[in-house]
Amino acid sequence: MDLFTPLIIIFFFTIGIMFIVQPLIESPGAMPQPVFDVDELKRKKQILYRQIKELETDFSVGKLSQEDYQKSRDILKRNVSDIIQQIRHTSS
Amino acid sequence: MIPVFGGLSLSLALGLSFIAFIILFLFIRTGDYRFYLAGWRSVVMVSLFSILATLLLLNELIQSNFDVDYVAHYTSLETPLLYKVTALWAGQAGSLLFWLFILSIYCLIVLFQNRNKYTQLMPWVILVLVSIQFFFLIITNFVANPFSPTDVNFIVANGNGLNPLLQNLTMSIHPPTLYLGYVGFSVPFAFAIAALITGDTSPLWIRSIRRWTLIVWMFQSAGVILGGWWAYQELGWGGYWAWDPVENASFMPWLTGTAFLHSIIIQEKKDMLRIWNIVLIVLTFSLCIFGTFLTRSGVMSSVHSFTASNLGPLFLGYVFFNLFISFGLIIYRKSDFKSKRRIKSFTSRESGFLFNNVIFVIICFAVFWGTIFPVISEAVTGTKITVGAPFFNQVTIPIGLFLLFMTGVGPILVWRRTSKQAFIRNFSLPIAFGLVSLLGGIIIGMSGYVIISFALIGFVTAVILEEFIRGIRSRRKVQNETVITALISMVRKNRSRYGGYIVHLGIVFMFVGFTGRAFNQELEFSIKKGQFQKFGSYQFEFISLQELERPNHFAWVAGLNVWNDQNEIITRLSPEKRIYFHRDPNPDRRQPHSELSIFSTVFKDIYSIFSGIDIEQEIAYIKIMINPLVWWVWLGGWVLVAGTLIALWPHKE
Repeated sequence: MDLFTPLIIIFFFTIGIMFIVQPLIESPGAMPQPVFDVDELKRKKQILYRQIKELETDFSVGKLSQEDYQKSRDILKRNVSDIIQQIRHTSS
Repeated sequence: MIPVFGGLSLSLALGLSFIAFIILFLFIRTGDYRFYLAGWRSVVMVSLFSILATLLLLNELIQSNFDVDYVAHYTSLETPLLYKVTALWAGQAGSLLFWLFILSIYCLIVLFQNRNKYTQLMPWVILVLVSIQFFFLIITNFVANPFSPTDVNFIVANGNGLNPLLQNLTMSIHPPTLYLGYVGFSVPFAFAIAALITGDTSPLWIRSIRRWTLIVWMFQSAGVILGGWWAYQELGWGGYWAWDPVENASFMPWLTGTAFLHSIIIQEKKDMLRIWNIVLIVLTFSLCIFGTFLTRSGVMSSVHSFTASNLGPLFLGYVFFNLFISFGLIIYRKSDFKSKRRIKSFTSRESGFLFNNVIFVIICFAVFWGTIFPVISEAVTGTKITVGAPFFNQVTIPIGLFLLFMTGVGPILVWRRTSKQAFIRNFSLPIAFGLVSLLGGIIIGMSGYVIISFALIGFVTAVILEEFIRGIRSRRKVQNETVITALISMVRKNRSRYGGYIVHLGIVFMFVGFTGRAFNQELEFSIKKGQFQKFGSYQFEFISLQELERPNHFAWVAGLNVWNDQNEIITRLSPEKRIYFHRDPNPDRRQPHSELSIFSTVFKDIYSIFSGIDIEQEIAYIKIMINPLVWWVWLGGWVLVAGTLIALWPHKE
């Protein structure tokens, strides 16, 4: 092994360690504290919208009775409106 | 110098993975976000060093640096470039590094994709993923290091070269595809364990995991099918599935993975089967590791296993460790994860999904038992009792046919409860189709499982077509579209549903191919130049015998004209007898190999093997097989992949 090899190894190792340690030498206040609740609620809303769409497809191809369709749709719509309210509440 | 870098990259990755553990634990204990960022970055570095090590080994293989033992074992100067790349996963050390390489790429994707999501789960997800990396880093550093040097007392002028069976185009695609599937299940496993630890019962991560699982399932399915394709083209026994331990090793996680893909839909839509889903994903991941153990440990003799080693206890220990921790957590969190809802009716889609899950798990158990029985019998009685294809066929064919039936029943059941009217409306046409197929089969003289299979193929095809026709009709009624426009917009707007139906259609096509096996015929004969041999409705004319020297082998190529009963030549087959490493002065190292020639059509394959040669008398020993409907297996595979891609294709919310 020539002299060049350990130098390169040390170089890469130092870069790696600096990259890892860098967040630790910053003050805790400087760290961004992300707010995730709204994003997660929005994703939940999307899932419910998709479920309503699938329910409508099932109904349109005759897989669901009018009664079952109405019942399931009402439940999903109620869940969506709950989530929209939660999003408004969290955002404000 | 490059091998030193390679070894060092692996050592650094191992050290950093340990540091990542400590830092992430500090985050979990203190909640200080800085530790999370540092841990996150450590795992990025672990992944980058692992990727770097793999690329360095690849470079050594391409450069034919025989100072590295692995390179000398699996390549030679004559090995073509493509197979030098293939050598990366041909041997044990390389394939384990390749596992780590794919896992590291997946880790990076998970880290960057979920940077600002699932704050509760992510530290644990990262911890689980880095723990898997840690396991493979321990192995690649201390047990099977791909950068180990060759014996210092020798100068290696040329390497051993790659096993001739692996010098096949499909074999250069099959293992990476399968690995993309195998390794990919680490991610759902990590999420499941994280959810168990944190008690997160939210359905949000399920959605993202479902998509991920679908991608890795597609790779695994393609990998299993490509493995069959390779066996069919290369092994020369005329089949594509022999219930070999290594084949079973890839099939078992596919079964539980497929069950998981179905039951996760129920969790997403109905918030049911939470614990069951976690059990399935734990089993799938454990079976992936178990599969690697079967392939790499050497405990099983297999036509697909190209390595043997003492890695068995390590892998087995790791599988048991994972199962112990996972099931411990499941028991601990049982009450939190208990679903509040119950399946209300036997004739609901939920119960259909549950049935299909149970069947998948039963098949998996049967395959698992048949696979490990020889090892258990040897350990207990000292005698190895081989479990062959007849056992597997006897057990899996009837259950598989029931599964095919469920493939048709599932889509026409309705959520919550299928009413009597809906039942009659949805089932009438498919049952009629099934009965017509059954009658047709009886008329042409079919019997046993073959006829049941054809009836079910008719039934399921009718279900799928009916689903498409209904959807098109409904759109045309509302939107006044043409059939084609209605079809395209219907699929575009419901990709996961119709993609799923196309996947089912692929499975039906594959069953067509499987059923064709019942009609296979074969004939072995010797033939002189200019002679004819009759077999079935064909005549085989031996017209030429060529000798060719290629860079890494010597070949005798037989020319066979195939005549049909109308006296027309339909194809010319050119099976080869090859000698690999023919320039090697040691005759023991020369390896004979038969390269097949196959004429494939929608209805049947004509499969030819050049078994032997008498050069002096110019006699060739040829084996011909006529394999009906094999083409449908591969078509089914393509359709399955296409259906999954449609289901996966991103769309606007």
